[in-house]
Amino acid sequence: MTLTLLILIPLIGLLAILVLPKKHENLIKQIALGATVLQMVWFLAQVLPVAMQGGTGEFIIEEEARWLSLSLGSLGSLNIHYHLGIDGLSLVLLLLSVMIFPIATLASFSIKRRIKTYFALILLLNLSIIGCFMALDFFLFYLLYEFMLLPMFFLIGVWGGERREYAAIKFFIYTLFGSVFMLLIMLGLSFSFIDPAESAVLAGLVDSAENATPEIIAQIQQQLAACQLPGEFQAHTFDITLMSETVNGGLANIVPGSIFDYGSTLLGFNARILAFLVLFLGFAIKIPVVPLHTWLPDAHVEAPTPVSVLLAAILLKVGGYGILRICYSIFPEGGLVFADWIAFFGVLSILYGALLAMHQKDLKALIAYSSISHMGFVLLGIASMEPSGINGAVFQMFNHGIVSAALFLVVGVIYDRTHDRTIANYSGLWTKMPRYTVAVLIAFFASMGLPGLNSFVSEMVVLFGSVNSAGLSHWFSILAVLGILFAAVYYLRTFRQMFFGSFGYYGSEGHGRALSDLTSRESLLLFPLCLAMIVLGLVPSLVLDLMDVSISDFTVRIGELSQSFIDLRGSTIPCP
Amino acid sequence: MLSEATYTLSEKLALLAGSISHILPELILSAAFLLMIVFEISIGKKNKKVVPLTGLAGILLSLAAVILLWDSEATVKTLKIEEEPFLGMIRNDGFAGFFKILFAVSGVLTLLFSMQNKKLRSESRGMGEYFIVILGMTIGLHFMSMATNLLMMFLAMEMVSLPSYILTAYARLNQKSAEASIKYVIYGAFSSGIMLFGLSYLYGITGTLDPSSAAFAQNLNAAGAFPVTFVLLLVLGGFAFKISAVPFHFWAPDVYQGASWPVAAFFSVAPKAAGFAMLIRFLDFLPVESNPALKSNLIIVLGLMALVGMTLGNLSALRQENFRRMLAWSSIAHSGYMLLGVACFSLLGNAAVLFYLAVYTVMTYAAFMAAGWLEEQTGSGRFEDYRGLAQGIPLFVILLSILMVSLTGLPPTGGFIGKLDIFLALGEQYQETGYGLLLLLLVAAILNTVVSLFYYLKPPVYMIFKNPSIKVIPRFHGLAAWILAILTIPVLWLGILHFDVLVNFLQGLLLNLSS
Repeated sequence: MTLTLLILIPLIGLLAILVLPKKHENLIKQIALGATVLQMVWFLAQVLPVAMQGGTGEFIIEEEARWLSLSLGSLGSLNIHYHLGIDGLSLVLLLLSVMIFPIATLASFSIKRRIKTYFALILLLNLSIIGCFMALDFFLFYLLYEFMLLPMFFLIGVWGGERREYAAIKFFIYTLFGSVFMLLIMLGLSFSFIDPAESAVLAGLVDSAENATPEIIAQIQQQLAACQLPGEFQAHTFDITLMSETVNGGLANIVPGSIFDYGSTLLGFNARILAFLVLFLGFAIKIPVVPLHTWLPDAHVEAPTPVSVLLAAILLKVGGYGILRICYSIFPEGGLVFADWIAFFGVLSILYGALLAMHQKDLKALIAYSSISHMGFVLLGIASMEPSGINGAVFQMFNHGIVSAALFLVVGVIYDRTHDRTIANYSGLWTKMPRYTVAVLIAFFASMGLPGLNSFVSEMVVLFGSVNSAGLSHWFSILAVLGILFAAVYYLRTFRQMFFGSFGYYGSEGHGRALSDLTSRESLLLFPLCLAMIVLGLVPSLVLDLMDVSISDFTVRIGELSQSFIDLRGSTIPCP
Repeated sequence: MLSEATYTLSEKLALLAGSISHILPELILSAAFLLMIVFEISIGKKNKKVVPLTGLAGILLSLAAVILLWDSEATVKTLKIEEEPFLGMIRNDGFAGFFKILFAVSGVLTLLFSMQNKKLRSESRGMGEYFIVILGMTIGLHFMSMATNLLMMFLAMEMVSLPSYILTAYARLNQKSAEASIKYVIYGAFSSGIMLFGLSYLYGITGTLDPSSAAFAQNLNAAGAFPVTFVLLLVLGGFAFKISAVPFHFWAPDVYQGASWPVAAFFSVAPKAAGFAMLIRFLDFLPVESNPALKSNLIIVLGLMALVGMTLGNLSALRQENFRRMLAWSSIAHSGYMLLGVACFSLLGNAAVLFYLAVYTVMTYAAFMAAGWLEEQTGSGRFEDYRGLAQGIPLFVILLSILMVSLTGLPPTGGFIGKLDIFLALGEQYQETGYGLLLLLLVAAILNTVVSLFYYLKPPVYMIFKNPSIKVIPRFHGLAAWILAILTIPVLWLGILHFDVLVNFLQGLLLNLSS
């Protein structure tokens, strides 16, 4: 129940909000904030301590229940489980999510229209994202991953700016396009892997799956590999842990001759490589990777501040998480085959995002493009397939979550006062808004990777990984460093324009007087984020230690697996 | 069967009399049908509620009879000819029972809403015949789901078609309605003719009208794949008309837009379900396993019909500004998705079609209902006029959004599971046969899902994102609100829980279908 409660808490909050009449606006806000804070407390008090004692690469906490069982005729059955679990990778992203959600919810208190619907949607988004980070069954993951689109679509479309409708639909279509292809792969996977314990039940070896001993499971797996397990005894599964389970360096539960077996081909291509590519494409849209990024600036510019915060800080991370949890776990050889390309697109995103950011006049658009640039490091780190690279990638996701949340809040502060985000319209804000200036300074410096702040560490670790990686060319690392340089250019230029010199506001008349320093609520929002940037810059091990073991195990496993696939490609004989 | 006359007349009569109990639900419907006529000419003019209530009672009673007579075990193997109802003309099995439940649900809803429909009530000559014809059509639908003889199939289909023409034209003073019914009659007559032509050839080839007989399969196999495919193509024309599949779909947009909305909703689900019931039964009799050439021909034909249907339906729906017309085109696309399941020629595929039909019946009926309700309230069928409705009637917009998400086929709704099932069936057949066309169809279907999102989002986008334009905000309450909410429950329920139970149950029904 520990993990299920993380989903149940926002669900209960959601139901409470739905039954309340519209006029209790304050109560609705408090319930939403209360639910997210409670979720955070529960996570910090119950999940994190247990997880920190773990120390092995296994899933530290797991919850599993039978959900659905579909008969597939001559191909046995298809079992779908409600399977949640946490390892180092999901732990870090969950930590980020439960910390950002209360901040975004508190920031939403300034929303004026349709309060009830807004906070209901925020909680709906919360539970689907949190669920997605914990789901270990592909079906459950897919369900939550798709479901996430709906609340986000409405949050942008209803509470957004002038072109909100266009931005919302663009966001929806882009991400749906990616995820329907995930569906295609999911269909193939449903015939390709079995659950040995459930299969033992179908074969009559044990009476229930819980009673299956390791010997029986090993026996079933041997029969399967030797093509001696008849179709009607195969209990197919979507369980990600079973899909990536290895035995003697190969996949333990794969059905020989199935769609995603070693040597299978689809339309003339190697099926597994193709599947990796298709899944990767879906997640790459979410990250987003250049050239699939064009939905992001639109969505960010139109979305209200708190929604931008959630989008940048958490939603984009689902893409990176999916690449590691799904693509690399199930089809690791794709990562090896495409390592150069993935690194290339990572570096392309870093440079292209940074170049576009340099030319933005709108502060929010600048930050949106810098997001694309910084998420490029995640891709570069993953492409290295080195422990340090992947550690750095996940840490970069965490840091980008913190930093981009602060950056979008910072934009929200001046936008609330003047309804103007044009950089050139401001100067000398330092004199009138000293506290604001400090917050912006920390956030800008953190984002550009200044030593002593958090992003510096993660970007360095990513670069270590990519330099160390046997497969990747050093040019990728060298060009990526250029991205950091570009970031310094656009952030420093923006900072000079907006904060140095004498105070002035050149937008519409009268709004300049509204420029006052941070309110206490805004300070409350920005303070923890700025603190986290400094603390994690000085003591990065606080987060790195959480995932270190998991990720090195993960790296070793996918390294072995992908090598064995490369060796075996085309050499297996399908069953007669 | 009757042609193989080995029985004397009195023996035949005895057999027929023995079969009567098999059609108890239809007898109840017929009795209600006759009662309604009597009431209409006696007390119907004074008390306007009597006729429809009799019809409602008739449908509900026949539903009870269907459930009491539930027989999922009726297989050809176990039954001798004497034991088959009406000498093998029909088969009263669980498969038919499943469809009868769908007909009853949509029939009851149609009667209920027709009673409330303002436009229909203002019709000068009264509503009595209208309800009577709906009941007559339901009887035909029942026989369509049970027919196992080529002649019976054709007759049952005509028994559904004729009332359909009448119902479409019922609002005869409405120009749209009149135009729609003429189109309907012309296409209907044309496709019936083609089908009858095909059936006559089929009789010529096989020498029997009973597709379950051994001679039927043997003679088909002996005739060679090409002529048989050609003949089957003609027969499929009739089915395509009923399920509004390409290329016999042209009537659908006009009829769905022109008829009153309860009728449009009824047409979009009940005859389509019946058409699929008959199609699945008919294809099941064909010797596809012993005749691979025929099977691959049929897969190509059905696959192409599905592909063109999905694509054309979706692309045309994109351009629509009228809610009901959009639903009409989208229902053509849905027929395409379902034909994919039929084209699998597998247990999984057919079960997926049945599941899809169950979800489709509920969500399409609800969507038509929502569209009709909006039309009544705002006096317009165009999306333009629904701007900003979400602020006035949030519950309605939420329910409608759920339905649209389900029609698109996104989780967590029954529509998603329906599509998933069909895709799974395609995947299974691909794995079994390695037939590349199936994979291409799968990819095309998935891409079509993305296309359909564009137009299914239109109503919620207009209602939620745009600023309000109407002055009078309708109130969403009473019967319409309750029924729309109730219809949304199974759509969500089957998306998350227990859909495996239903699918496995349907597989069980289909297992006993064939010889």
